Amino acid sequence: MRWLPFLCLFPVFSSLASPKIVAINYVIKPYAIIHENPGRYSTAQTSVTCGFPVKILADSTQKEGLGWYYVQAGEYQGYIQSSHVATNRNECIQEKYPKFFSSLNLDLNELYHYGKLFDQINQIRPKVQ
Amino acid sequence: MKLIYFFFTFFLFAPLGFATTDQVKTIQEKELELLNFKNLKNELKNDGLEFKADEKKQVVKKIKQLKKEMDKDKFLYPSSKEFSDLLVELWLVKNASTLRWDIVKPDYGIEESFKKLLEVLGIYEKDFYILLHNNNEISHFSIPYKESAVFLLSIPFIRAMDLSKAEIGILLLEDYFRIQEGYYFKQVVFDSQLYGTSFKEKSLDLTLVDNKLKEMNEVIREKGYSFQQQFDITKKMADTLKSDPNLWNAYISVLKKIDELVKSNPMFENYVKQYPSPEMQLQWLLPSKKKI
Repeated sequence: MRWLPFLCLFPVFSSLASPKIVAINYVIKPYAIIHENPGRYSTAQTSVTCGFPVKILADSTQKEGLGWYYVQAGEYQGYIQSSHVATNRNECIQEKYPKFFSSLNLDLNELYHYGKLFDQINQIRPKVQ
Repeated sequence: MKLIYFFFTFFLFAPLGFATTDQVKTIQEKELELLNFKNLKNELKNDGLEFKADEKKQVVKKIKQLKKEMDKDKFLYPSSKEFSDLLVELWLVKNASTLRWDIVKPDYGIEESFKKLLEVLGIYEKDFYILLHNNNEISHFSIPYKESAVFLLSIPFIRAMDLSKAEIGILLLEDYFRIQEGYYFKQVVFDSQLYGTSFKEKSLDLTLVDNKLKEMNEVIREKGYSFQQQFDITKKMADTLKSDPNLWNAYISVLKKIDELVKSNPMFENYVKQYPSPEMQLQWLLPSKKKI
């Protein structure tokens, strides 16, 4: 009986420990980097491939305006550029042409740079005013 | 007496008994009939199971065919458009160490300025990609990418001339016009019969990738553009910018700065081979001074 109040508080503590999942998005670039901080030069935690599901965590709302999402990708938690993910799973070149793409034999360094490339390229879209 | 009665009844009913066994089928016979294939076939026909079995056969056939097609699709070469876009990415990835585009760069605000310029000129609803790099060999170059273009822009190049945002925008616009004129695809031609075909049961031709990467390297690093192409682009720029004095002055200013740079800085002496030549461009643009 003495443990009952603690058991009641367990969901509260557990929700504090792990951030709430807001949505699940999918990586739309051939490769993307999960960063430690919301910045393109921040340390890379891992690289994720196109179509990989990332869980958008509640903290994202703070950084969303700056073009970054706080996500969980597999066992890693970090930041990804919001333009690199989408709610719908797009067709990826690796999945569309699997044998051709795998035969390119990109090494680890090239795969890392592939992800980094999309971090470094600045995308603009002029609009009708 | 009992015996007599038994024999009497036996002889009386025996013929009847034999007659019934001939006409009425025994349980064993009935069971045998059920196992008889011909009979079974008739039963199946009556139940419509044969029709269902045929239907199932058709479904299995269709699934097999789809599976075969899907398997064949796994071995497809990308279409020429997808191939061209993929090569751009591959070229940038494979040249990351020489271009050094992954260095920490200050925010020059080029994107916003170029976006505004495009909006002023009525070029909308297209994605443009800008990649700043730390190599003075490729001062600026645009490659067709995803229905638009990726612009390579050298930081040492813009720093050497201390270009303003407006001037950089003009430089990128000139590159965009080169894409529009299709100069790149005249030099790097994607006309192989293999694009979009399957290489299942054939060997994959990876020379297709290697050769195109080499071609791209040559075009981007060495070949550049001809005098005629430069003349046409300069005229197009003049037609576009003449109505706006600020943009016109920025164009003249950037050409003058480049002309001075290539004449004074040996680091950029290759520029004239790629873009012949800033001096000529200025002559084409500015009214000639008449000697009296």
